[in-house]
Amino acid sequence: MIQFGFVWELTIRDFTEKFAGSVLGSLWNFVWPLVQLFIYIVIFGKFMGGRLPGNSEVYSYGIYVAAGLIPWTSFTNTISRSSRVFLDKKHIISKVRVSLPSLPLFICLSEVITFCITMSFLFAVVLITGPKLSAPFVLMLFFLYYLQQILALGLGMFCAVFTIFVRDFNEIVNIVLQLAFWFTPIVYIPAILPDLARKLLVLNPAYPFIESYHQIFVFHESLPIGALMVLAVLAHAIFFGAYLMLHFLEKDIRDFL
Amino acid sequence: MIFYFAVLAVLVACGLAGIAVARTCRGPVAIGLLVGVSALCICLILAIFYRYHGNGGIW
Repeated sequence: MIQFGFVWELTIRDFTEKFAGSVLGSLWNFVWPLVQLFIYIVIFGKFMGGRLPGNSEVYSYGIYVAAGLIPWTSFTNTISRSSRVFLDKKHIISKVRVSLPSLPLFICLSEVITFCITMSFLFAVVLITGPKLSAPFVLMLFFLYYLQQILALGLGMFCAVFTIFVRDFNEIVNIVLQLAFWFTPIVYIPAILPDLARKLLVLNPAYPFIESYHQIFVFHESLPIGALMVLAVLAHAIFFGAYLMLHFLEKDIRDFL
Repeated sequence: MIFYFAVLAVLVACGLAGIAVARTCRGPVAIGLLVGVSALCICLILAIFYRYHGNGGIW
């Protein structure tokens, strides 16, 4: 069984210990998102003059980049950090009888906290700079993020198991995620891609949710519901498959560690 | 307003189903059922959104 008290304790420790020993301490968790948003919105939008086609608003491109990059960072951090969590927490696994799915779960929760902080700043910027947010779309943001993190957690658990048996797997995961970043329309719009790339783009599981974030914050048209429904089934199936793999290989994993 | 009530109704129904599963089952069976309830909940909410706001494309 998953020990929720233990997961919560690890999450808080992960969040607070990131900047342990520094003068500002946990405050750095709030400074970093602000710096990131400043870069995306002010530097990209105002100083570098980035604009979306057919949209002359100064900050629209910056908001477009931020709305894609914040969830993408949370998604990839969950996968890449989960993939090496068993190796990083080997000392805990060997000493305490801890349920293995608890470990990727705490990474996921820690990323949720970081995402919430950064997103709240983005909301503040969007409300100040003008684009109107639609309430039903904002409500969908919660379900969208939940879906994204279920997928990330499932993929992270798969990668975590493979990384134990093949250590190089973690590096492969990081390379794939780096390539996936450029194959997902986060800093560019899909219309600039050649026809073949655009056809292949529909196979990218990250595309529906990144497109949905762009719709919520920038375009305000509608969400790609068909693609999101397929993604919902796929994400839950991957998560359950990864959980089963972890459950049945638990003894081997402990022996190997 | 009906949109919000429909979403709330789905969340409450799926929450109750989740609690019932968690109290009656253990291990992979419980996780499997909870994952199923969660997928159903998300699909229903997406269907409600589609009913009021349409589909944005991709597929």
